Formats: sequence, C-alpha cells, structure tokens
Amino acid sequence: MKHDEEAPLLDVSELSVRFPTAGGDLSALDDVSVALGRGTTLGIVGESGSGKSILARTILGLLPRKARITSRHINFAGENLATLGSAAMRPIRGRRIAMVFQDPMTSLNPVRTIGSQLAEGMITHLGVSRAVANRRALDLLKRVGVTAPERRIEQYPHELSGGMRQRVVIAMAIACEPELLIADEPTTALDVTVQAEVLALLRGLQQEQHMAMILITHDLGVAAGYTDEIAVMYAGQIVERAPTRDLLRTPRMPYTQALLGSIPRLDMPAHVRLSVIPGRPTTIYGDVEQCRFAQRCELRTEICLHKKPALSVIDGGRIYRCWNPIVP
Amino acid sequence: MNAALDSAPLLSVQELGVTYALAGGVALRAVEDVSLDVARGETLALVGESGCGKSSIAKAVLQLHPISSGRVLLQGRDLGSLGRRELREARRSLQMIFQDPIASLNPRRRVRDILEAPLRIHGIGTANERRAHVERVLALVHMDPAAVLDRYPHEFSGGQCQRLSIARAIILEPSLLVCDEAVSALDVSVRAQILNVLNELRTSLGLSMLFISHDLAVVRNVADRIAVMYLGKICEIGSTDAIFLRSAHPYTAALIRAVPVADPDVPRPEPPSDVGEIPSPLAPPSGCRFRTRCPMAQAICSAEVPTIKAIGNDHAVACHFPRSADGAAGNPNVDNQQQ
Repeated sequence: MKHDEEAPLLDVSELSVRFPTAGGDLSALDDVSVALGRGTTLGIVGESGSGKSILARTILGLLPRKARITSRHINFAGENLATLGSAAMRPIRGRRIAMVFQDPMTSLNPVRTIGSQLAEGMITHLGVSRAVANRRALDLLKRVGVTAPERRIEQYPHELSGGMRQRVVIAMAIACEPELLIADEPTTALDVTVQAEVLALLRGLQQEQHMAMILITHDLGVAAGYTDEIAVMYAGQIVERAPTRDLLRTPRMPYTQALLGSIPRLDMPAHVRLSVIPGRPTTIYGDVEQCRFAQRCELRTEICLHKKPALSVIDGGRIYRCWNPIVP
Repeated sequence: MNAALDSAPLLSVQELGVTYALAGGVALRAVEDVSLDVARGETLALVGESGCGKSSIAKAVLQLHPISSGRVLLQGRDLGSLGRRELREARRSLQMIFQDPIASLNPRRRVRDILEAPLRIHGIGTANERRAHVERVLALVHMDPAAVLDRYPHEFSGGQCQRLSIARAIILEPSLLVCDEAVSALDVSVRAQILNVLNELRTSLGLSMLFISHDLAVVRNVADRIAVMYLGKICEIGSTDAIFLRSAHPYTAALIRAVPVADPDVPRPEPPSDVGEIPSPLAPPSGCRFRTRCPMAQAICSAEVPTIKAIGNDHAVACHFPRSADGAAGNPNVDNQQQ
C-alpha cells in the first residue's frame, strides 16, 4: 500500500453510530466507508433520516455524547480523528475541516456584525491581529461575491438576503483555507437562480484552493453537476457508491434506480406518472440480518430478508450493497 | 346555471393587486395588475422565486387577505362582493393544501374527525353516509381506512399527512384546489407519490388546480398551463409546452437554465450572471422589473413597463425583446434528451 501522495485526504472506514433509546439502540450509521482525495468532491445523497448529516457530524466530532461510535478509523490527512479528544479536535474543526449548513441564519450570530464574525475564526485559528483579520474579511467577502463588502462588514445578518447570508457563511468557512469543506444542504433554502450562483461559487473556490468537498444533498440534480463521486445512503448505510456519471447512468442498487425514477424531469411531458417507491424508510434498531431496503424493493428475493448484503466491489471504483443488483 | 356562466372560466383573476401595509406607513405592493384564468379541469401553475407574489395571489383567491384592486371571480361570481354567509358557501368549492402537512392537521383530532368535520359543518349526509364518503376519499389517496381512521396526525409520516390533507381538501368535492408549495417539504420518493395522487385526481375527479411552486420540474409534471411571476407581476404565461420548449421571457429562460438536472450529460447550470439578486419588492425597478438582471436590457426597458402581449396560441409575454419562438429557445435542460 502506498502512502503520502496517494493516500486519500479523508478515509472513513467501517463507521457505525448508534443512539441508545428507550426502544433499543437506534442504528444511525452502519458500516459506512468513504474516502476522498484533495481537490475532489464527494456527493452524499439520500432522503431524510438516511444518515447523511450524522455522517458529517461524526467526521467533525459533533455528535452528542450519548452516541456510540465505532470505526476502524476516521483518517484525516494521516491522523485518526476517531481517537482525538475534543481539545485535539478544536484546531482541526473550523480550520482544516470547515462546514456550511443549510440555514445560514443558524450559522450566524444575530447580534454581531458580519465583519466581527468573519474575523473571529481567523483570530482564533490563525492567530492574526484584528486589523489583519478585518482586512482579510473584506477580501473574503469580495471573493464570495458579496456586493458592497465595505458596507456589509458593518451590517448584521438580518440585514442581508438569504443568498448573501449563505455567501457570508461560505466566506467564514473558507477563511482559514480548510483542506476539507463539508457542505450540508448548502443551497436547499435558496431560490433556484441563487442556488446556481452559490454552487458555482463553491466549485470555483474549491478549484482555486484545491480543497476537498463533501456535498450533502437530497437533490440528485445538484449532486450530478458538482461531484466527482456520489454515495447514496439509505437507512444509515451507503448502499451504492460510484463515480457520478456511472451512478446516474447505470445504477446497480435498486434503491438508487428507484430514486432516480421518482424525480420529475424537465424533459418529461406533463402528467407523466412517476415511479414510486412503495412504503417509507424505516428506522432501524439493533442489528438486522437483512437488507434495510428489502421491504420496499421490487427485486427482493428470499435471501434479502434474512441475510445482510455484503459490500460488493466492482471495476471502476464502484461499490454497492445488494443481493440482486441491476445488471446493465 | 345559464349558458354564459357555464362557458366562463372556473376561476378568473382580473387585474388583481395585493398591497400589504408595513410598519412606518410603507406599502408593499406584493401583486400588481395580475390577470389569469383557470378553466375547468385545468391545472395552472404559478412559479417564481421568493417574494414574487405567488402566495399572495393564492391568499387573494381564497379571500384570506383583502385585495387592493381588481376582482376574483369563481364560476362567474365576484368573491369580493359576497357576504359572509355566501362566502362560506363558496368556500366549499374552494379548498387548499399547504406546504407543511403536519402543521395543517389538528394534532388532537383523530383522522376520522378531521375528515368528517367539513361534511358536518356543511350539513352533508347522515352519519353513515359521511363515514362511507370518508372511506371512499381515503381510498382515492391510497390510504387504508381501517388502518388510519382512529389514529392521530403525529402517528403518520409527512407524506401520509399530506395525503390526509389532500383527502380533507377534496372531501367536499371542490371545483378548485389551491396548492401552495404542497410538495416542497417532502422527500423525493414521497413527492412522487403525492404528484401521482394529484395527477390521478385531476383525471378521475376533473379537479382544477391553482398550483403554486418554486420547483420547475414539479410544475412540468402537474401543470397544463404556467404563469411565471417576477416581483409581483406575470412575465410570461402559456401552455406548459410553450413555457418549457419556447420560453420567450429572458427570466423564464434563466429559471429553466438554473434547474440542476440529474443527468451527467446535461451541462451544469450557468449562474444567471453577476448582477446580484432579486431587488427588494419595496422598491421595484422602473419599467420592466427584471431589467436589472436581464442580459438583453436596453434603454426602453427602464422607461416603459412592458405590457403582456400574445405571441402564440395560449402563450403571452411581457417583454420588450422577447426571445423568438423558434430556435432561440435552445435550452440544454429541456432539449438535450427527448429520447
């Protein structure tokens, strides 16, 4: 096995997360492995409750204390984050791994100016003076396309539109030039034309800084245009992972295919019947010895109901978790 | 009912204006001079971004907010001229579904009571007839009456609650259903179920809908006709095909182009350009409201408000320089893969 240059920036291996509840252990993540290299974007796609955000929070060390986390490792730039305490995590989180969440208003402090919030991270993490931080804050706002940055720096979050706020949050995230940016539904709360602008901005910044990015989204359309690889999550597992084009063109896992089939498309005529996935996602408690999608799957056979499908690895860096994969 | 009323559109919104009084004596003109018709059995979609006035039109149609100018006619009757009693009667034929399905249902009532209430209030049928009707309607939205009637809203998922909301809305057999972002909060697979239900009801009940959404792909699926709104005005209106295949307004074209498509061969959306965001509805630009973000804008666009003009069969646009119907509408999102 080669190291250094070849080793991925982030390498999560066999990660499981459980939350003890009155009804038993809720299995929020099960045997999740992902890796991504510098300058690449991994899309994580799935419906509510599939575990996308839990995965992001686990990497960042932001899970509540009651969470039971097991993994082989969560390697980031050669360091195993799983073994780091919260003190050791602090210089990494926000500086080397940054994040952008869905609702910019919850990421911003409503009673502090944009400028002071932007400067804070740089003062804390980079140890620069306030004057330097303020000057950089202005540059950052320009870079993320905030209009009239000199004025914005004095303003409070409520004085900005949703799109402008999200640009400020992105500016805060990239202020310390992170190696990895985790963006959790960064454009879900934005209008479609603003969404296109923010996604283009993220992509441009990523290329400039050779930053790796995890883009979490429920929208396969967003994932299609802005990722190199997509991991599809269902009920806490990655059920399929493949280079973006392959995943969209020749999905192997029936859930991926069903998800693709249920999206209305602009090139479909009006009133077309969409394919639906019967039933709804279930919450999994404890260990289940079956495919988590089995109950809703049209290709289900006997084995799906009593044996957990192993991860199959095929050519071209694809994996899937299914007993009856779709053969292209 | 006489013949003249029969041939009239089901819903006719005429030169509608909606103004909100804000603090400090400021007036926000959310809707200005909007006219549109919905024919029987037709679904008209209102699309546009936040603050374009689409929900204000819905509220005006439902008489939930006073209108400042114009008229709303339902089956030829001016809703604004009705007294309280008559309006209540008219509301039977005017039902609505909102974005948050869980908040739309009373958490303390069982499904049975939620669905029967409209029938009881309007004094329809005997207890037995009402029960039978509730069961029929539940079947239309693919829910098993035996399994759901005695349960409470919190026992259902968002998609199931939305189906219950639809059931409640259609139980009085309304002639018009107003859906305000009815599928926006739902997961992809659940959204498909709800869209299928709405399309089925359109066919089986001949339901007419005013369907408000910011999601163009959803609108493509449910609408017969589309009105595109920008800052309180309609900029383009026409059949779904006209809007998607021959969009004439630069804003419509930009909206369609901005939709990300789950297809690796469709180029990623170009951001509309670097001209910033939607101006404040408190101070809309003079002339054409889209001109500050429009790549085609010329001097006349800031001087003169473009009037809405027909440019084809069931296709009208408010623009000084509409894109020509043939060829120019080349849009990779729609054209690329007509397989």
